[in-house]
Amino acid sequence: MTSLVNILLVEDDEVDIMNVQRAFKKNNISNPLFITRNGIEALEALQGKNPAMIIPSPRVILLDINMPKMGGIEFLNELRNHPELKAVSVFVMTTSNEESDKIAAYDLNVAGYILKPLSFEGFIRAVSILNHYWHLCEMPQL
Amino acid sequence: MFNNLSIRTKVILGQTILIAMVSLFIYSYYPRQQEKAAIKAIDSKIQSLINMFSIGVGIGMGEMDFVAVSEALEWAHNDSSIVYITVVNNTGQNIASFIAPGHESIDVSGIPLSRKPVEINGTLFYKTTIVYQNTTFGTLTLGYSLTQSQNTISRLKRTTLYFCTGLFMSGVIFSFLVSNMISGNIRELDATVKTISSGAENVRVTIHSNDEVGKLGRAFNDMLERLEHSRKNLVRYSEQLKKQNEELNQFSYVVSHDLKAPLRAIFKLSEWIEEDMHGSMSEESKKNMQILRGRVFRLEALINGLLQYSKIGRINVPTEPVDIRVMLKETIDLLNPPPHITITIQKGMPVLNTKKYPLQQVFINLLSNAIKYNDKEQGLINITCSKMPGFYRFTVEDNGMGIAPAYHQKVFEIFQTLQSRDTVEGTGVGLSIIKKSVEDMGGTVTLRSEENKGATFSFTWPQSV
Repeated sequence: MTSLVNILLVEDDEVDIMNVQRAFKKNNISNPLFITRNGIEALEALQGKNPAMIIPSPRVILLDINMPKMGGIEFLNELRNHPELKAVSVFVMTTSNEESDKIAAYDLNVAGYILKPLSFEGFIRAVSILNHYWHLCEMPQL
Repeated sequence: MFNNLSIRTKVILGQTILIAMVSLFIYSYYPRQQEKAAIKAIDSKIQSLINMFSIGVGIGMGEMDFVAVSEALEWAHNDSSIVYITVVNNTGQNIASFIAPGHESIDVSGIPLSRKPVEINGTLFYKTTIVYQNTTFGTLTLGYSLTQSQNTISRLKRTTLYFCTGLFMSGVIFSFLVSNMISGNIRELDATVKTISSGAENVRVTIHSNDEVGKLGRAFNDMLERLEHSRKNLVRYSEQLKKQNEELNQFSYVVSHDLKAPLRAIFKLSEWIEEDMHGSMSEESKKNMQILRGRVFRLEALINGLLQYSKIGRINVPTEPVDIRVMLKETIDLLNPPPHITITIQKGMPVLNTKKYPLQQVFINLLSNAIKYNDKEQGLINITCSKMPGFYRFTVEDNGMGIAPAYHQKVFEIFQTLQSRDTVEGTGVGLSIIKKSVEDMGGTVTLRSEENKGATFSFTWPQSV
């Protein structure tokens, strides 16, 4: 590992953002965390169109499904069709237990589909496992 | 055999047989009748001739008047059918005779004296005694040729044959015409019905006759009109239903996400507040926080129940072979009943082709209720099955706390619980899901129970889908 993985959180709910931030703190995760509130903002940031938010590689995306303007599945569609961004690892983190959402997400090559546990304890564990995952995996440095 | 024939063939066949019978009857009866009449006429003619001869010859021979005899002979000549006359007196002397050419060789000596004629070579021979004023003078032999009357009869037979053949032919033709007239409309009706049943739309019967078939055709058109109308309505309703179903799907999705998100936030925030206070929170506040999170759990369970209830029958579930015994074992494993509960499954559970998911859901809900509401030291749950026409009846019987008859209706309504949710955590969705699932499959649910005497839930499930 030469550099820490940069994590982009695409999430519209403030409490859920706090949730992730808190879970990072609890797990002593020091990876840079970038936050966008919907798919459009996330795409702009990833393409470097937002000067206030430059996300260097390697990158991992934590994606919510239900968001205003551009939802998670729509965002994934755009991402996978983008020549430079199509290889980015995406974890869906959502409350949606709909079979149709899971199928659509895996069709778009997500690295995992995680149902947000109701309790914070559960969420801390989930984030800890994710942290182990991206520490374990080698990412291209492009 | 006749059932397979068309109406037209039946009519033609019937009429042809009838005409054939009439023709045959006429042909066989009329000429014979005429023949009998002719023979009778001949007979009476001969009798009168014999009488005449008897008188003539009697007078003639008694007074030796041969002129009278030959006059009688003369008179007999007028009838060309009389071909043979001999008058012989008592002494055997031939007094008068007339034999037409071609009849000379006939030997009449063998003919007995009788009122009845004897036929020899197409000639009727009569031999009688000549009696005048009770005195016998001799014998008279008279030959009457049948050739003429036979000719007449055979001519008559021929004419009758022609007539009957003509009658038969015209009868057959007539029956064809009539049956065409009758069955033409029926055949048109039949053809139209076939067109419609093969899936054609906007087809109407075009029969303008005023008879029964015409009326039937008009009634049929009316029926088609109404059918078309109701079909259009049905299509409209089903489209409406489809749209509403989609809206409902969208609605349940929105409910699942949008109602749950704030709940989760409340839950987490309460956890964080507690955490951030680092134990400086009073015991009462801690307890209140616990209750708050308990209510959040309950609301989420209610939302989940509502979602589950709204999904019944709207989701296409595949049909598969289900071994009920295996499915029940799986279900019991899933529910993991406490050790004081004993669940028995009757032997001989069926294997059926059905929608497994809703059936298993029904059993999960029934069994989890039976487990949850069992207050006995030894909890007993018994699952049985019996066969009914087209259905299986499954029964889950327990020795739990039971349900008073007053509430038997109410327990099947959504969100209805008989105990405070604080006593026994339950959403009140389980039985309503059972009822909806079973009724969705065309079955029924019944409950037999009294307070403190256990409960017996039975439901019927179709043997095949």
